[in-house]
Amino acid sequence: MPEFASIGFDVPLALLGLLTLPLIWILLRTLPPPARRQLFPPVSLLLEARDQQAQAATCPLWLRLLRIAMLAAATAGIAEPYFRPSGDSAGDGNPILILFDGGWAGAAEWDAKIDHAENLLHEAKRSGRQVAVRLLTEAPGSGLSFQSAEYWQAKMPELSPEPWMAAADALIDDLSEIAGAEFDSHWISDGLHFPGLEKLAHILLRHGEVRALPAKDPVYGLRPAAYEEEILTVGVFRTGETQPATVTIEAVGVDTDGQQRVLVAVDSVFGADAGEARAEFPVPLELANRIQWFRIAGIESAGAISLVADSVSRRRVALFAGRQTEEGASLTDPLHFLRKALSGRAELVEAEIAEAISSDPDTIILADVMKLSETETALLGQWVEDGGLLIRFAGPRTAAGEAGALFPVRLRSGSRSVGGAMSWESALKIRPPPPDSPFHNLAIPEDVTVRAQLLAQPGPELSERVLAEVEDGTPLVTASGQGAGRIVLFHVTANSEWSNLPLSGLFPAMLGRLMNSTAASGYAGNGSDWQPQFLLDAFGNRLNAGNLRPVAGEVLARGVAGPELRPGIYKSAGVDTAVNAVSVGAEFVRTKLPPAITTPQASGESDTAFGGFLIALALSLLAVDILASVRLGGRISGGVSAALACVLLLSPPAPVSAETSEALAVELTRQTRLAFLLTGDARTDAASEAGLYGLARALARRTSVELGEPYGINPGDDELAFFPLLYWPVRAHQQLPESGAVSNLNNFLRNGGTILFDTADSGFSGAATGLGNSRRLRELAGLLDVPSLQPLPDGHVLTRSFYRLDSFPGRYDGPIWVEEILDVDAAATGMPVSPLDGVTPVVVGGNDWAAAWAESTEGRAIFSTGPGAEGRVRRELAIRFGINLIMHVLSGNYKSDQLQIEALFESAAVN
Amino acid sequence: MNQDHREARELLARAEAETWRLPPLLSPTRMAQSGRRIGAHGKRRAGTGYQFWQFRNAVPGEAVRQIDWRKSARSDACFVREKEQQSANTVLLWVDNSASMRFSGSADRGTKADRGRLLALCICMLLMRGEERLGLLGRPLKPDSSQAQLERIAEELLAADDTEYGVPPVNALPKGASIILISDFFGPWSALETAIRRAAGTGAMGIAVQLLDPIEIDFPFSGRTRFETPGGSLTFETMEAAALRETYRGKLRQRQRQLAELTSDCSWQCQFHDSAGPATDSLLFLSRAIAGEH
Repeated sequence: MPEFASIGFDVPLALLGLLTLPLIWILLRTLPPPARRQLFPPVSLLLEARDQQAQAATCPLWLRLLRIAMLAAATAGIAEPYFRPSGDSAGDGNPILILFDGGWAGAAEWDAKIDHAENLLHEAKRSGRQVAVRLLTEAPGSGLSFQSAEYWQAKMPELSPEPWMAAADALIDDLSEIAGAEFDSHWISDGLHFPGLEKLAHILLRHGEVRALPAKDPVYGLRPAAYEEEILTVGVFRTGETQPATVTIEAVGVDTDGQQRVLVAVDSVFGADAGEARAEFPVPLELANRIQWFRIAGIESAGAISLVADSVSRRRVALFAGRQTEEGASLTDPLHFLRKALSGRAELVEAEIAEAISSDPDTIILADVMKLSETETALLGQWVEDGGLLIRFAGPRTAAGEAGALFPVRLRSGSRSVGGAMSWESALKIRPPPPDSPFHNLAIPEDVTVRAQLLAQPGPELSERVLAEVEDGTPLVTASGQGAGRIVLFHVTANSEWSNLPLSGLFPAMLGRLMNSTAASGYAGNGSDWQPQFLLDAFGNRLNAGNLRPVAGEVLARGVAGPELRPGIYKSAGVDTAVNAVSVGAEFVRTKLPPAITTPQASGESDTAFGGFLIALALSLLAVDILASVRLGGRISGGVSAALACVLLLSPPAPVSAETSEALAVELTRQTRLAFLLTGDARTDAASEAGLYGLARALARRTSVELGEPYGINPGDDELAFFPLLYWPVRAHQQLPESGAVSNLNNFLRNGGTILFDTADSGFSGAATGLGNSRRLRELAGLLDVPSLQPLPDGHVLTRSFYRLDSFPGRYDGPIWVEEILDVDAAATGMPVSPLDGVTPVVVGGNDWAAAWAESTEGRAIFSTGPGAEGRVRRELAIRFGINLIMHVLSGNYKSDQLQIEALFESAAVN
Repeated sequence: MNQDHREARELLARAEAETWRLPPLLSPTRMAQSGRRIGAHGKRRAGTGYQFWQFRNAVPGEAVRQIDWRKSARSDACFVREKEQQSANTVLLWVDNSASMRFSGSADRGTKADRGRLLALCICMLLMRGEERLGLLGRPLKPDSSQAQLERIAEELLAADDTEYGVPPVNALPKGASIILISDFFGPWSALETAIRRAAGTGAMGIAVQLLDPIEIDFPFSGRTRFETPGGSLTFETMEAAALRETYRGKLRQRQRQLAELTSDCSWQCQFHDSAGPATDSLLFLSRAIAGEH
């Protein structure tokens, strides 16, 4: 095909309009511009001078040319022309397969990929080709269906990448079903190589031509966090970039105020040609345990987020031995091997039991302790009930004592010795643990033997409590659940007295499994279902897991994210585990496509539609024409009209920025005012203003609060400190605030401001993916310092700060969300524990309150809230909510104090 | 009527403000007769007037009502009270109030007629201080020099004229009157010429004041324009008004030259004013012309 540029039209019929141009030319020539009427007394003098040439009243030639050009441009613009740099993409009519890798690695430039795909679809629509669109991250079995381009154009907005890696198998299966079909493929790559890529590429090449759009940006990712030599370390990797670079790794978690924010940020430096880098977080344990995830600043992808669960948070372990050893005999110290095994993995506390419990350990290890006082037993029992993990080791004392409370199984008294000098039997080896044991898959060294052990009383429940056995089937480790916690018993000593287990590498591994339980497995009595707590999408946004099905432990154990195991935090029996988009030890290399696949230059590849430009040109010419007509009529001078024409044709409108001047600040603080965010959409802004105006009027009528006129703010430029409440209508197409605005808003929130987010979509938050306004809200919340939220609890101060309310309708009646109340006691009083006087910094809902409040200056409602009495009731409730909200915002926790009013009365009565 | 009255009051007030610091004026006729003398022009002989001159004995044949009975009662003889002869001059004004004069080229200045009325009334006030008798051309208003006459003049000046261009009505002029004509003189030249020559024929002294709007002088038009008179009787359309500018200015100069020649023929004076400048300037020039300082 010849490589020359061509111009095509989407609506070529519109070009027939050009045929009318000659007619218009003739009409224009006969119709002169209208004369200007001028009162002028001395017409008599003019009449005497009537001797000049009789000029034909026609339109000047240049004006006619201008008008014809204007019409031609408009007609051509309506015909939707496009410019194709190379004239060969029309193709031969084969169907097209648009193939996305669709993994997290492509999330950052997803919009560009979608744009590219839309261009392809547009082209396919023009040439009438069938299209199939496929993500390589889709679950197997979705089939490959070629549909019309329009069908896919409609589906394009729903397409989103998945937070795992692309895989070739599913598509290879689907392709094997249509082995003979001919189609061309467009491969939109993420830039990460994956297994089966070459095979898939060769299969596609058999079907037809394959073009690829390689990823532009380098791919950055975070490896799961781990402790390396006592320091919390996160690995960073990259592909597709060889220049030295520095990335910032942020650790996000809950601060002491219960606010989620960046706790620590560390720079990680890539050397030239380096694909890996590290970020070390030498932070104290308290802080480290609060970290919820790490992320690479500025990269929106699930791969740039490393969720942290219990596997990384370090445990505090209390050790307690029943007997003190002589000084220096460290190897016989019952705690020596425990200390060695746990050091680096946990913080160790060695104290009396009561003291140990008060230090809030995650695990308490009792090494051969039999004599526990009643108080201690009760304390320990309660602590286990509350979710503690008690690990006990056997020993001579345990063997000698009466089996008491806090054992997983009933024990026979006395120990059993095998393999001793006086015994026929040799020392017992350990059996490979059963699949449902937490020790499953641990390599059992051949030389680990047990010489003595405690035996359990046989019973029906014994077998399901056994986590590991020795080779004759007697238990080595048993466990049982008790309340929310567990009790585990090693039937051997914690030192090498009874077994050489503590000397082997198996010992720390077993302890680690017990304490962390990240390697998923169900044990008897604990179930094997892992319930997702929250999930990540490919962009790294957290999604509410809602009622998603639990995941089986075996799937979780594989640890590789995929359609069955979405990245996120999973929980089972009090243990959290994280599934990250980047699994442990995964290797990443840049995509290498076979050379037969063409990779056209991305720029200039697509058609350039310029119909809009032509129409804009026509409109500009129209403006010039109007000026010219005015000029011909003599209404303005030639210089002015030429200048105006230049302005119209050349200069874009200049943005006007205003600064908060001191005078404005004085004006704004003269009265308390409510603020609303200027969205740039005139209707929304007008509704917000009218809404706050109406609310202020209602407040003035019913309460002692008298507010000034509402003020529209732009968070980037305006000072927010003057406003107690910012009403934020969230719309899907809203610009996200820039960083200056974000810090401004965060300051506002931290200093006690409240933002009312209103998605005005009646709370239809499209559960997992999030649609429209709600998705924008989620993105906003990601930027802002928004605490974790909960649906408004019963008895929250918002329900009674002025009126008693149990619903909060605006034009819709959806749920509203406020700051989560963290403290149990505070939940009772309806007061979140925060330094902000108990005022929730955000209220989130979708009830379109502003519209319900909106009132014109004549005091008439502007928007409908529903028909008849129902509508009036709803508007009344909306206003009551508004009043409650303003009361809450202005008076803080004062209103919640009324809960104690009875106590106050009582004490008053006593006095 | 009430409206007219208020407008007349307003006009008077404005005229008062313009004239309070100017000296009294005498009519051009009297300036010609008696030189520069301001004030009551006593003739030092008995005659009609307001000032007492002498008592004399009544002579037979004298009308009984001439006798001053108060003086006569003190003696036996009958006396007649004689007053000193005073020769107040008559000044007749004409302010063109045709449609052509009720035009202003810009919203920020008044019409030509308005300026004309103001000038006329100012002149009236100054002449009144010179104890001249004042009247209006073509109006049934007996020349008088009382304060009430000023108000009557102000009201009469406001009466509109329906014609397109005004021509001074010069019927039944009193002998030896002075005439002040204020107009744009855009009407048919022959009619204007006839009127002025006839007025001059009665021996009246006179001043013709042409009052023009600035746009009538500058002709600042361009583009396709349709010119209409305010009365709507005449129209003129052109494709390019700017091309007409020189032609029009030539015509205007020609009309002004004709007016100047005509007035000098009649020993009259002629002045050209525009309605944009301060009224005080025009008034000064005009009063100096009346006082004979050319």
